[in-house]
Amino acid sequence: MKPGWQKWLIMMLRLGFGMFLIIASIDKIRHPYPFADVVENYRVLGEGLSRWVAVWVPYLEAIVGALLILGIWLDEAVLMNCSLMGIFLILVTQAYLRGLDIRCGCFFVEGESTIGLMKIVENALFVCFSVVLLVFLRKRKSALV
Amino acid sequence: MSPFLLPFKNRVRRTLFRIIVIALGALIVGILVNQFHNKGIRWNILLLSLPELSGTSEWTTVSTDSAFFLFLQQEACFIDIRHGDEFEIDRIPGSISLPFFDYFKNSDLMDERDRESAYILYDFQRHSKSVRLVAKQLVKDGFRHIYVMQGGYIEWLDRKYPVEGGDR
Repeated sequence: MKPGWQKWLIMMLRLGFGMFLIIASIDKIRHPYPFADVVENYRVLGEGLSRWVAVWVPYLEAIVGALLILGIWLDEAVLMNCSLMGIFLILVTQAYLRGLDIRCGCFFVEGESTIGLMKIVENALFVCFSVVLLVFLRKRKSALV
Repeated sequence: MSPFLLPFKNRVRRTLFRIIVIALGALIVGILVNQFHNKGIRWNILLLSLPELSGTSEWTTVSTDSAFFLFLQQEACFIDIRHGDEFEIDRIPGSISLPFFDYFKNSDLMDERDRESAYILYDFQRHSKSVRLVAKQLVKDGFRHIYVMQGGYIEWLDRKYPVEGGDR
């Protein structure tokens, strides 16, 4: 029998990340072209691939967010959430290290804070929480077997 | 049946399958929704983007609000790539005219400009292809700080930011 607080922690993190991903996807879905520009500004992908990412990623965030909230295909959703957070952290960090003066585009495509150390810390925290969710979920499932 | 009772290989296979389903599902939904979205990226634009999948851009796009901030700070020079006649009617105060076709006919037009300064390029329309081509060429010519105002002059007018010369 596992401690009750773990169950609650998993639930809180699941719902938290689910809401976070869905809210983050809304503005990107509403403004695909400006989001493609935001992606392009990271200077990792060219104009063409940025458009494909702008068409794909917001819906991926929304679907993963919905799966986390609903608890469907949870293992896969948690794994994808972890990957998304990791990729966001890498992108933000490389932009900061390259000295790019660009908008983050995390929640709002326009009019949001620029990339800095705080943004990296914020993204690193999200990665930590997503790893915690992954680990605790695995532990819980192992305990159930 | 608990997933942990399945053999490891099967679990990995099933997880991979589901991840592919989620990823592909998101892509298909994204492409479909964008066809009906009034500001969506249409499939023909996506297909046209295929030859440009490699390489990264060397300029930065800025929103009209950010461009206005730079305008107030006088930290950048604005370059208008519209036709000369349109530039004569009205323009962003202090901007210089560099019509698209003139520039590609004679790229010496920017030779005397400082290559270390910041330049913000704009066309009339939002997300203009021409402005990106000029930005690409300017970067090739050694200009280090090139910005593209993504909203175009039309958004500058919509926002009622200052213009000079015109009764538009």
